Amino acid sequence: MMAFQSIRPLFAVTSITLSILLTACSSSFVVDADFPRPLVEPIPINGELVLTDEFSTYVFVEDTETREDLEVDISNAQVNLFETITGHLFSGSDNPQNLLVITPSLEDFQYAVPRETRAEIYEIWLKYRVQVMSKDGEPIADWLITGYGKTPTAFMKSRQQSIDLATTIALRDVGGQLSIGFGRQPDIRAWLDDRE
Amino acid sequence: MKTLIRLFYLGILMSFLSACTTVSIDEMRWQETDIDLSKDSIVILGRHHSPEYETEPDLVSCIGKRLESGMRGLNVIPEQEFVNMLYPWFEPRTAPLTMEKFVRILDEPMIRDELEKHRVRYMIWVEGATETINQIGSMSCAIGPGGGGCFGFGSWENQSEYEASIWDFENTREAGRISTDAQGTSYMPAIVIPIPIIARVQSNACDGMGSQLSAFFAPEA
Repeated sequence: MMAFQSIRPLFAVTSITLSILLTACSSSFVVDADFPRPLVEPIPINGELVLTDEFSTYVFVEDTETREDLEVDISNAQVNLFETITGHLFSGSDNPQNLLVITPSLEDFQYAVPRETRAEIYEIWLKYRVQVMSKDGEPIADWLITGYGKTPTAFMKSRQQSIDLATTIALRDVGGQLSIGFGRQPDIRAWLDDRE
Repeated sequence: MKTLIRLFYLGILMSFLSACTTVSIDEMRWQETDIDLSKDSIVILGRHHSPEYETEPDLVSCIGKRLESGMRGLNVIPEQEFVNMLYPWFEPRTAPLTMEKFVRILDEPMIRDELEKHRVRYMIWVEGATETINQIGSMSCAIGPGGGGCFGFGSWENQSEYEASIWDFENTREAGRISTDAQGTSYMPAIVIPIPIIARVQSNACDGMGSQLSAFFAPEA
């Protein structure tokens, strides 16, 4: 019993050290970001955003042997982004046929860390597919949007803080392209022109 | 107790140690400035479009503080507040890099209204970065049951190159440009304790740029 008691502090120190070392090689976090309302002229039609379960619960998991483990939960942030943008993109219409159904999906999540790029920055690429359909389910546009974000510097920032910031910037980039480019997409433009 | 007092004095001494920095400033002016301090505001934005470098947000904020506290006490809208206010027109992908592109986005009535609502009179774009261009020396540190310490010498040279372009929102013209170059070498000798003698290159570049911009907006005598 005495021997066990004398070992106990050593055991505690070893456990804490081991857990610190283990967590140093992996990180898991949630990107929690708010986005400003886009300053664009709203389109005079109705818009409906459809978010799939896969989209609303998406977590990026990196588990390849050559890279450190990483789990980035961007579900809330991307839901927040698409809700904010589409919430300000349409001004509504009295005609119920003037409705566009928008279904986004995340096709790809890629990142680069300073060790790989030899630059003091973290980089994030997000590739979204935005499917736009009419009220009757007729496909109108299938649009790929790639967002890019990088940290100003990785200096004095943790890996988590840097990836969080770069992901938020990439999401803002996606939101910018969506809000400025939506009405300019040729297929969507043609559909809108038919309704005028 | 004596050791603690010595360490305290050493800490105070170290906080006063800083290496020298050379700063040079150039100014080009194409038109006189005219700002109503009671109503007008200015905004300072960093360029974020280059994949290789990015103007540091803390430098942009530092220049803003210098202008606010300068001789004229200008009203400066913080960078992030402005970028959010005009989202998504000033994001790295969409921000106007030339006056022609800026004039084009002003065709959007919502953007023009927002800028007029906040009485943005001048927009200052800051481009550039601070980089470490040279590093020499080595240092080794060791820790053991009896204590620890470092031994060696390190030195590195930092260089700042920034250019501020001042855009007149009302006349949609470039009013002038100010460029600042700063260079300094930092040293870190270590005999048991490392003693950093840091050249505050970016901070001095900010001071130089801030003072010159403040003078740029000062009324002609």
